Amino acid sequence: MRQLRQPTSLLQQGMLRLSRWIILFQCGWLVLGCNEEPSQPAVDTTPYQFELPAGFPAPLESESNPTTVAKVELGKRLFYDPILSADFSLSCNSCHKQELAFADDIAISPGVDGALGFRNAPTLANVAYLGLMHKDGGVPKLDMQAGTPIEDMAEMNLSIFDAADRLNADAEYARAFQTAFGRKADAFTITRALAAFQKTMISGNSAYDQYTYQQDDTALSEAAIRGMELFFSEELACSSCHSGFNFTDNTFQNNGTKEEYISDQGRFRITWDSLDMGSFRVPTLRNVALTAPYMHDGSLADLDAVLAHYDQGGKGHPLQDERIRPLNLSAQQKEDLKAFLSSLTDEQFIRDERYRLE
Amino acid sequence: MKFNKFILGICALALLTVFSSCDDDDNVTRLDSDVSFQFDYSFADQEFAYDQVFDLGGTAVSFQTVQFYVGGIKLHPEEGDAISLEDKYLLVKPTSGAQEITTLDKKHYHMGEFFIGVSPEDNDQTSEDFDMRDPATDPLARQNDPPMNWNWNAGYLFVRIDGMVDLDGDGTPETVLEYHLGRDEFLRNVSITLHTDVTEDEQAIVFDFDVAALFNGIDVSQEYSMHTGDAPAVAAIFADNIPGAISKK
Repeated sequence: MRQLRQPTSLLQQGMLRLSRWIILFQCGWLVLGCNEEPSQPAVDTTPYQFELPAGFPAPLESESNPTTVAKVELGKRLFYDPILSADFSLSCNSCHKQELAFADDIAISPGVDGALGFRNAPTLANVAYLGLMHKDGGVPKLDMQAGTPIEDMAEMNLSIFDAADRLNADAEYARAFQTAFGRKADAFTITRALAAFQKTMISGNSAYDQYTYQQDDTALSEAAIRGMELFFSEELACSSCHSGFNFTDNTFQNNGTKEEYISDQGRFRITWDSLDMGSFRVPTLRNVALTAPYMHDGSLADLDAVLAHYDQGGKGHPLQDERIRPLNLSAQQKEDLKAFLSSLTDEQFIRDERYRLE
Repeated sequence: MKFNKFILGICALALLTVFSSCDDDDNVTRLDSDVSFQFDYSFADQEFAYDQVFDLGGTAVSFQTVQFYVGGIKLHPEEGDAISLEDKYLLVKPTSGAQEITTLDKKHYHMGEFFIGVSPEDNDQTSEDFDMRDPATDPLARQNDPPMNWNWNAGYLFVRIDGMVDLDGDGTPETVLEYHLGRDEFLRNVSITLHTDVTEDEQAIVFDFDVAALFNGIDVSQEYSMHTGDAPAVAAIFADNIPGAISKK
């Protein structure tokens, strides 16, 4: 029978004890190491299937942020959650309400503590099709846009780093971010999730669409048809800017809303090109009847005021676009144009439960 | 007995490995060097420190943030082609110390070029924005403390100065002083004669950065809030002062 001899010297005894401790430590390390990281949910890369209305192209997609079901769901939750505002009082939805085509019904929506910015909240309908973001085009893409309202002192007034800390401290959000992105909440994942949800806000089933693309001859009233003909006429030239499937050519124009642009200089603020003074994005007209008040500052209360503005030929700013000129519209023509503009309301869009929290 | 010999053998092998590793390092003579840039802050002829009150043209000021981006680094050796570090950026703060820029051959470098700011391609953020960058390794990633980007607009702050200024003349700064410089127009190139022999395995090229010189020709008791777009004329003076504020130590 073979036996290990007992160590005889102190050195041998010490080395033997040391080796046992090393083995114990290594075993413990392996066990603890395996248990150190909690299991993370697998990343769900299921692509989001866009349901495109007739005449609509596929939305702009970025390689770095393909739209997935998980991102959209996470983005929707974030959109409605006041956790993204400094005092937990405001969510994105506070200024972008679905019943208003994700716009607001006041000129300047108050931010945290009632702070006021200087621009009217735009509709988010079809925001997936915009290139440059904001009324002045200052942010190059939707994917990064959400950082602006979250951090703006006149809006949600919260550092996006603090927003990430809040979200990562919430077990459900932490799991949702892992599922959607395979990583924690951070500036990238927060902005990309919100962008993913907003990309799904596609509106293209108005009475106008039903009449034009779905061969429903009864969808438009006689007044709306007359208004449509006026709208697309060369004489009025409305459609020279409000063109295409989204009723915007995505350019920036000075439409003569102001005699002077002092407090808000529009795209000039971005480009410093003197010719851009007073230029703002040509907005989509889809759901326009729901998005009053109008213009970059919400200074025109309703569609009557807007039609009066264009009929008058603008305020006459030196850089006002030459297509803004007196139109001498009759009362009937104004009513017809208003009927047409109202036909761009997409009732399905503002009731679509996909955009609501369950 | 065999078990004890085995243990002793392992220990001996471990000690041999440790000592032989040290010997290897000691015996290697490197032909190249890990070169870094270091910006030592000063205020005219004084040492610079946050929250210290300085006299700036007769107005008391103090600073809580003074930081800036360095990019477009190019080093000209005495012989051979210039070394361009196209994608290398540094975010320089008073506490930054030496920041490694690259590994260079040990030789004489007679000139260095860089710009203060962010290149128009990176400032545009259309392709790669700050949230796509790794905050652990890339100074162009979104910064938090404090931010180095505009909020309402794409683009970076090239230079950010936050401090206080004395407007009531009592010698104590009490009003917010802000100089936030950005926009492509205000990127400023710096060209400096180095005359530096890079001889060490790790070597810092040290510059003096004179904060006071940034305000040459500016009366901060009148112009104490500059966010580039709201004061383009002041921004231009401030930007033009940048090259003169940096010198080789």
